[in-house]
Amino acid sequence: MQIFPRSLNYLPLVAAIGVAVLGGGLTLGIWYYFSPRNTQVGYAPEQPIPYSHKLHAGELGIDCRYCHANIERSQEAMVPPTQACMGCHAVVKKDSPKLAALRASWSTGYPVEWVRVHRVADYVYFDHSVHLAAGVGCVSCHGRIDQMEVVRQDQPLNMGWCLECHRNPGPNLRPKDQITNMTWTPSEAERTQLAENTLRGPQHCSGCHR
Amino acid sequence: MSTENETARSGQKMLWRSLDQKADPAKVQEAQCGSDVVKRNIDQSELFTINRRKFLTLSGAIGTLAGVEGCIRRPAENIMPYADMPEYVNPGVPMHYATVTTSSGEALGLVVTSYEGRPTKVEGNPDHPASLGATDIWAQSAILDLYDTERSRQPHQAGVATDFATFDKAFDAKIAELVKKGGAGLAILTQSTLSPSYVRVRELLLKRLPRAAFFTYSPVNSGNARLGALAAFGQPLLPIHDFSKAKVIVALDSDFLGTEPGNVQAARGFAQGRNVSGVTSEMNRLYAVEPAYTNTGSNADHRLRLSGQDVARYAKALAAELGANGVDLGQLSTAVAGTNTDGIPAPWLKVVAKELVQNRGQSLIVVGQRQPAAVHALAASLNRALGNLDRTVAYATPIDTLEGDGYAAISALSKQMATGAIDTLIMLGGNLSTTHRRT
Repeated sequence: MQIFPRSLNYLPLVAAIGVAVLGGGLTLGIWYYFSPRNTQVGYAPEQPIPYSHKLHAGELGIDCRYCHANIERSQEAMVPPTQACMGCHAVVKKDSPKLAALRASWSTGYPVEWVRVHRVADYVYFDHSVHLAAGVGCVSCHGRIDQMEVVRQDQPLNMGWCLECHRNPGPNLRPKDQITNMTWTPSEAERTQLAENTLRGPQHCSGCHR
Repeated sequence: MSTENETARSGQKMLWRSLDQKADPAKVQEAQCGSDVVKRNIDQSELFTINRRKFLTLSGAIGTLAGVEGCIRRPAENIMPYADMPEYVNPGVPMHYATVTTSSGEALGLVVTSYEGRPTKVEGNPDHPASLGATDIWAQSAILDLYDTERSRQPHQAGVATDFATFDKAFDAKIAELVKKGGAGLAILTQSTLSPSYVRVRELLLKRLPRAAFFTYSPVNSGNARLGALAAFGQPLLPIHDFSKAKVIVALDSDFLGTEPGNVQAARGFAQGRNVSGVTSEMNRLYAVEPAYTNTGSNADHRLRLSGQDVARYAKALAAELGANGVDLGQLSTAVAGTNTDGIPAPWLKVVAKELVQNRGQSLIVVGQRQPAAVHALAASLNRALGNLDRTVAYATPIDTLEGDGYAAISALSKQMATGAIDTLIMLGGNLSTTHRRT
């Protein structure tokens, strides 16, 4: 007596297709969803003070370098000292409950504990001043900070992303006086001029993994 | 004043892996015993029996966790900017400070690298004559002093932390009382100093409190060298060597390349004398006589192992041999005549003496600080007789001319304290509990 129905003859084929589809889907899923593009971009932690770049940099139009003052001279973009904030907030909105942490820092001398948003691994050497000197604008890596209520990561900051620009920096370059301009678009003349640039970022391993 | 840690209090041996653990002994215990979960008695058989339900639960959990792992970005990391940023600081770019350390009788110029107020590296200052861009082991380790958790952060009174206002009040009252007595009963114990300012302030203080007594004690000091120079020249002087000009160097229990004061400069000078740069240039020659293996001994062309007490005997025998080779020793010749030469190989007298005589004015005999004053005096006389004075060795007045034998000073102090002649002791630096042997 035959205990298996005839339809089961297709089982090996169905199983093979099923495994291929499921396995492929899983691989593709992990490939895409576990990549920095998904895990890193959009990270917007809550900060101890609800500081709005949209208000300060966007609406009030304060230049990036007013607070991140050392950016053209250091590898690291400093987060401004409490002192810099108090320069205005000793007078402006000085009783706002949102600024309680700032006032506490100013009176105790203990820093405000900001949460880091943009981070590259410790084995990566990154220097802000070099990129600015080459003419890479803030907006290229950090996105439209001037529209962000809460700062979030805009680009994946992974190695492939870095290398893309190191190989062909042209589209991300701009005149040095437009570095902090979030809305700059090149004129036709500038576009051709920048397209002719021969500047390249280092592409050898030890350029960044020193 | 260092805070006593848990080890000292409980008398038990405490092992720790980080300074956090050392500061908080409870953490050590936790690290040793494991967390609360592990400490609880777990039935091992229960762990390894797996039924279908448990298997599905676990595999589901594993799958979920693997997914969650990918979504959790990373542990949040804080950025701590300055509250009130000092001028000239550029976060991310180190500052370099020129400074000076003093240790074992020399001042060494340094350049310290500092990131946002946190010093990370010490190097020599190329513009400083004692450093010339190099450092010694103490200067390199000085960076650790800056992060010493046992450093005192506030005044203590009878072992209890207090504040500076309280200290100032108590100190002022005490000083007022002492001024009335002209400083009677006051002893001030200091370490050897290289500071002219300190010496000047001490003179001013003695004018105000003429009956106060100063004592100078450092565990490593130049007392023997001073007393030796006193015997040889009639005044307490300190030798300054120029190794770059010496063709033949005899080191008597002197680790001038490793631990003696001025070793950084000495190493540079010695290396210059070793530098063969052309056909006609010659290397210097170093003879080391020493009881222990040192950096100097390992660099020596010839090394003679001799016990510490026999180094003096070797010096006398060498002096006698020099006399026999025509060096004018004056009155010394009778004192060194007939020295017992047991255990000293003949070439170590004959050849060394011959080379010293051949290189008059270009030779150098150096003596280590721990050798008694008599050996220092003998070496000074020999250097003078060989015409080395002001060529390879010069003698200079020390900054603190009142510093004498530190060991005598410390025992005089303890005697006076025992008799009650001294009721107030001010210690400026130093840690007697570790640097002085109780007798």
